[in-house]
Amino acid sequence: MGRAGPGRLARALALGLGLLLGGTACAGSLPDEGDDAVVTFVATRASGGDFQALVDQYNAANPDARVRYVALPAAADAQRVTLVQDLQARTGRYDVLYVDAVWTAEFAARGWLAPLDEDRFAGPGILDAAAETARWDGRLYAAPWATGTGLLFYRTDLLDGPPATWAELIEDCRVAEEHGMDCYGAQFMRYEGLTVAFMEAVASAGGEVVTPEGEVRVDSPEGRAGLRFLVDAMADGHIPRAALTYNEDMTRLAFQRGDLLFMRNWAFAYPLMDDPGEESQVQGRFDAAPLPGPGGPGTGTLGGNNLGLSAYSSHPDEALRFIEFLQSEEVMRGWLERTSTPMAREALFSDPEILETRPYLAPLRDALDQVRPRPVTPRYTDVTNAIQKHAYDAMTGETTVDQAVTDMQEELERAVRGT
Amino acid sequence: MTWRTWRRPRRRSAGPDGARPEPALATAPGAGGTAPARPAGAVGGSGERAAGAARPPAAPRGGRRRPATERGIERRLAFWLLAPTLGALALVVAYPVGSAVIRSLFDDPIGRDPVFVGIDNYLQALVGFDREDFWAAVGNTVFFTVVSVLLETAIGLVMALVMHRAFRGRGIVRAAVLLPWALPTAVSAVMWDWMLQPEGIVNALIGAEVVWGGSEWPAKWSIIAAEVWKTAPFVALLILAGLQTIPPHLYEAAALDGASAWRRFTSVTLPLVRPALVVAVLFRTLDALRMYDLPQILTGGANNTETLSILVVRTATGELKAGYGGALSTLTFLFVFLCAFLLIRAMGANVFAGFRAEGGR
Repeated sequence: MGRAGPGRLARALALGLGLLLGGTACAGSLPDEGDDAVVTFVATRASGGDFQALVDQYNAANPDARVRYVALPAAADAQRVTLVQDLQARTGRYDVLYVDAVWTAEFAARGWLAPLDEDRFAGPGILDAAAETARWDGRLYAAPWATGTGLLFYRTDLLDGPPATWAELIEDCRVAEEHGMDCYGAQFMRYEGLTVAFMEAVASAGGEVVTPEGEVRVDSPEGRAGLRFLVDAMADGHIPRAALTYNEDMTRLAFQRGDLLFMRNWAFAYPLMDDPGEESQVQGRFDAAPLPGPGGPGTGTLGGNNLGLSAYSSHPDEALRFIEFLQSEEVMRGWLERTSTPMAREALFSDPEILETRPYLAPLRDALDQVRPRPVTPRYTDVTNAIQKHAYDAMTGETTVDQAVTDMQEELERAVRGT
Repeated sequence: MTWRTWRRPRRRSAGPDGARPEPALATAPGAGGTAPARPAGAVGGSGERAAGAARPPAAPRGGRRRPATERGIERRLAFWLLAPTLGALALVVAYPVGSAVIRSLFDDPIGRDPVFVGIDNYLQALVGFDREDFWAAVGNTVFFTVVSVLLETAIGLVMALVMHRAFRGRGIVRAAVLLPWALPTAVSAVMWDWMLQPEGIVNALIGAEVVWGGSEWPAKWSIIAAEVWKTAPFVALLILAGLQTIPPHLYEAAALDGASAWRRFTSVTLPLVRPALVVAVLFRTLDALRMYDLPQILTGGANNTETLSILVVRTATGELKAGYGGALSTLTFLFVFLCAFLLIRAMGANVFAGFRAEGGR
């Protein structure tokens, strides 16, 4: 008995260990080109997109410089943590990084991204606005790839056309009231989406939150006007209080249920709401237009993802060749067709063949002319936290517009200074 | 050296020993009797090890001097057996805590090496620019802890009293009550998030249009509701265990003396279940002070629901401020430590009083 116990225990341990080793062995060998891959490409899973297929296609043509694809978590925060942990440890395990536009400056300033050749990765044909998010301190640190900005979605069955100004939008809210709907919804939950919505409001009013030189200018008549539009619209019921809990998907679901007359969202919502399989009540009864502003068309905020080269990569030449492949017009066109993501290539906005199935790209191209990037600063996380905190407090009525703008100015100045 | 010389004979004799388990059984109490060696107690637990330690006396030519050497050997054995654990603890507890404290004395620059700034980071949190965030997080943490532990204890006590009664279907009730505790917190948080959506089931049931995540008090109460729903079963389980140790004859005697049901509850049940109650409250308080996942998923810290843990994670892994984040986590550690200390001082005496009273009876 005294012997049987440990014996059994030992066997159980051996079995457990075996399973564990077997399991890790399997996990390690899942991407089967793992052994002879030279370059590791780390990117999030995109809805509809298949990076593995792209990698396979590349590997077939480049057997000497094979690429391994590592999938990142879907949530932006988790993606950032995964990338940062690897970069902080300087493992050099990841070569090509799929970097959110707003992290590019920080990663570059921390020395995690290698500078890239302007002509090769941001030459003619690449959208200027997108390339601007990939620059830091006058140099290019990533290859612009996916892009996009906010669009105003509206119901074509209830309205003759989109409102061009804030006043027209508020006036049209009567239509929503007549039909028992809410009027305007956007991403006002306290997260990155609120930063985008707030910056769009301020930029549309002609203001700027942080200048490209790093000067904070939110405490200005334009900054106040932008925030006041949102706060007043919420106080008057034109924005439903429920929008304080809306992220991108929740806003889209409210709009496609028929609960909203207007919605601010990214282009991804368009094909989903037009998809017969998506239980959309608004299929064929909506369209998208550039965002309105106080006296004319508004200004959107730029979103998107860039492709960066890790400063710790041991195969930079092969990695750059893969980035070049991903940035080619053919690959970008394929990605656009599969995922409906607007891509950072001029030609893909004017191609009649693409425009036929994706009419939203035309207003998007117009909007991109007006677009403003989010503050390009290495302290972006502090900046966005400060914006979210004070904009949210003003929208919930916890504080006044004036107080929120004053506090935000003070906190942003500290954040940008980095103390 | 001695470790090796001791080990070799043991290995060689492992074969014959396997055939006769008796010596191990016979000498184990003997070893304890001749020498109340604490190392043996600290190390004990495995039959194989006891058999190994008892090897020398089993050999006939050992003589009487062996036990003394044996004690030394046992002590050394204890040290070497504990060493990996101590090493692992030093590696995973002492090193990170120590390096976080040291790092908290440096600033958080981008693009140059951190510079020593003394206690600036602590001052920044306690009285400096970020004091509002820090003290709000302290206030929220304390508020969530006090309210949710009070509710959990009250509800858990009622649940335990119900489960303690004999009735048909008690097994099913006990299993059902435990379900919320069995769910991972993140899963139950997502579930509550869905129920509390503006078009969710909670609003449908109460027939109102509350935006639970849209203002301070609804958000706070939804976090408390989710927390209590999840952890009251845990409290109930601990209290139930306490209830089952109360001998039924005490109730019979009280009933014979004419005590009402309420009197029996306050004079018999409550005093005797108190030790279990105190343990439950202690566990839950320490747990609630570290609350992270529920508010993070339900509100993300919006509407003044940010707890200390959320603040630490946001600073250290979101904003990548190892120095300031280190200071915040050190402060959080000290705060939880202080709470635990005070709680044990306040209630610990009662625990022992309760046990003594029980023992005396």
